[in-house]
Amino acid sequence: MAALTYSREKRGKSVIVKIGGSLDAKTAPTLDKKLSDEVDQVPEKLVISMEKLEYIASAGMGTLINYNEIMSKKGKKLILCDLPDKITKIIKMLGFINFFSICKTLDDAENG
Amino acid sequence: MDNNLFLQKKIKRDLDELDSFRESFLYYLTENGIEEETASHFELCAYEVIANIIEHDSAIPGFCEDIQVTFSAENNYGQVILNYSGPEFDLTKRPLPDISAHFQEGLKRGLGIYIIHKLMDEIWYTHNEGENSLTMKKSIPDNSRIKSGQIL
Repeated sequence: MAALTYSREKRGKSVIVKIGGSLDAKTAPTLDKKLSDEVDQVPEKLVISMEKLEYIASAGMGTLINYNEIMSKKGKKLILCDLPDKITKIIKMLGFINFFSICKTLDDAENG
Repeated sequence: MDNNLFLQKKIKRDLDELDSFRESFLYYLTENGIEEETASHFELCAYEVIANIIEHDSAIPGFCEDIQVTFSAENNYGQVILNYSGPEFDLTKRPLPDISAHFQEGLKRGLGIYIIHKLMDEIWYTHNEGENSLTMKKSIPDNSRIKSGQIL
């Protein structure tokens, strides 16, 4: 079974977070804690690359929604990128796609 | 009966066990001919309900602590039935969140019921003397591929 993987690096005005594995009821609190440590370190953009994300449940989506709003309140931006097809499909089907800033690639997210 | 598929499993109220259950559940559905996207919807909705039970409900002493999951597919429909003991809580009666407001307010919780309503065609709930039963039903697009089988 896939635990949550997390790595981060700061590049220019962005903090790039790469998540993988499973973002669900068990692992969402871990991501929540890590992102809460991150938000004040972000100059402008918090980019979350989801290339290696295999699974997302409501708890994971809720965490992303929460940080989308936290960043917005701070005048910063949360951008999701590298979404696997199956994650894109479910986010689209649930009608969330227009509420997030989503870029196809990490380069697009950093430079857009 | 043609294309009759049946699975019944019991799982403990434990998120670790839920992880392995959902993976084996999805594998079982796809291996038995349920198209991948539809199978993933059954799996995600079952996951959402069970995670909610684990988080909010405790079993009633003297009742079975396990959650029984039954999946069956017949003709053009599949359904997941979750049977578990606990206090009465009808999540089908919970109001659906306004997603626009949900994003504006940055709310973390309350999406599970929305996901279930979005992905399933019908949901119903019964409670009888400490025993809860939640059924989620959905049409299956390519019924002809479904294998007959029974796992208990």
